[in-house]
Amino acid sequence: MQFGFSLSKKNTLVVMLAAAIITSVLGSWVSDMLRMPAVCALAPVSDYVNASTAAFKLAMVNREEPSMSSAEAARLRREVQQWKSIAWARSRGEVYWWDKYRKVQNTRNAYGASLERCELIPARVILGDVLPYGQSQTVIQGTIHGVEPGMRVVDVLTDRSKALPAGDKMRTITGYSPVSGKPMTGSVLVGWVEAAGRFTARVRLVTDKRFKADAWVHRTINPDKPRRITATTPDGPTEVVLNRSNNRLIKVKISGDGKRGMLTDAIPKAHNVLPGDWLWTIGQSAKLPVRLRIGKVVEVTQSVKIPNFVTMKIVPAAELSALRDVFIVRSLVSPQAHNRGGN
Amino acid sequence: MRWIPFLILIYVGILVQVAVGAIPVRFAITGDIAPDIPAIIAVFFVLSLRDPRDAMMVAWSLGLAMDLMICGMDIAHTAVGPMAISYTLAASVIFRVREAFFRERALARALLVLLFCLIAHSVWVTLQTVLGFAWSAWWPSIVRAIGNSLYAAMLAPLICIGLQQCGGWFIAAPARRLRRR
Repeated sequence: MQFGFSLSKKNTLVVMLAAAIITSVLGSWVSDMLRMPAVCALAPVSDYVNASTAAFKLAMVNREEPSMSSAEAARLRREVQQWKSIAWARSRGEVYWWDKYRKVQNTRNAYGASLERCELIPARVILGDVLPYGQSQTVIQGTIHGVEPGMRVVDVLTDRSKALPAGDKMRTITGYSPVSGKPMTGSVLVGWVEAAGRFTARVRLVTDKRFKADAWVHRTINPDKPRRITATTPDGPTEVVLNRSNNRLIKVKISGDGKRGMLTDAIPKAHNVLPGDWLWTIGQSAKLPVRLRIGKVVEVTQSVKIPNFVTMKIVPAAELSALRDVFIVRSLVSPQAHNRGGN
Repeated sequence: MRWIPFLILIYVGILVQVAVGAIPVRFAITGDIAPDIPAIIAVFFVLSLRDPRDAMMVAWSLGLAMDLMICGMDIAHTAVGPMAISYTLAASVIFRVREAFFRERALARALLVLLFCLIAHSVWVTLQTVLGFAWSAWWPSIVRAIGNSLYAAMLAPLICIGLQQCGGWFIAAPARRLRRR
């Protein structure tokens, strides 16, 4: 049978190039349609590859962490004792109902009051960017599991977050992960779902240049080093020492720097934000109606454009280069209810 | 050209790329950089194959595999297809200039991989910025492309030695150097 053309190498090459040009022009929907099955084909092996590289990076990365106070250490010991008790109680095997009860309690404790309006979909990072032109990760959860584009992605910190100052009011309640059984003290925002296929989803990290969000700056109080700020009083601006009563949150706009951190817009120098302060999500959006940590201030520099204003450089609270197990947040707050101001 | 073993090689090459891409090296000027392993494989085949169309089909396949795995650039979206086109273009250039080099020399391989990567990545970055209307991302990405190309060129001699050991699995009739009459 003759088709009017022969399948020569030249024709094949022409067809291949034409297909590449067509997919290039058609853009996103074709690209995502092609990429998701390709990632699925690679997933069984790339999961192991990713696990190995994540372990390697965690071993190589040396992050500076605040030192732990003796009070904090004592509190940790109490917590460990508590967990041992829980483990002992569970090992008694008293039963199914006790186990169920503990799981519910632990889940509530683990995520604290802060995530009670959200459902968490556990996901695993199976693939990073093969060339470092962008900041994205692919996770093995898709629309079949309820993942949708725009959903926020959080990581659950383990022992690293235990070094947070004990006096931090915004800290979430300590518990342990019902998934891994590891102790943890809270969740941190790591990115958002950019595209979701049936079984996999692509996550953009907070360090990506397209990440833009409002955030709160929470200034940490260290009794050993009192911090002076300019507060507005009935008598006008006055310099006072920062304490719990006047430590109000400062709203800033943040964006990813495209490398490994984030930058903020300019805020008044009078707030006296210092390296070591924390950034939190606003907690009032329909996508993420809870307050989570985003990162820590590492550098405060004088704004070039506006005098008496400063900008900040932020490092993510989680080690984004070695992400493995993450949670995709499905908000249970409907946008309509959110717009009305209720739940 | 033996295509079935070559498809397996693409799969393995992409897995290696996933691993090396996850451990980038950081420089102040370029930011994170990682080697382009499929580009090294493509250059090895371009240097070893007799037929330029085979060489370009090999490059297209490797480029498409990379296209399917690269999700990011600092723009809204990266399309599938530009890397396949740019690899093919780079392969045709390398095929034309290969007679000017002693292909078995490590330095020649490194230079040709550098040239291949520079062409492929610059064309890819340019196409993506045009398709994504993101001109601001062009220059930082080009700088990063140069870093990636240099990194790949440094690894090229080593990987080519490995590929040469098992070249017979993929290439039925390797190319010979042209002789002057």
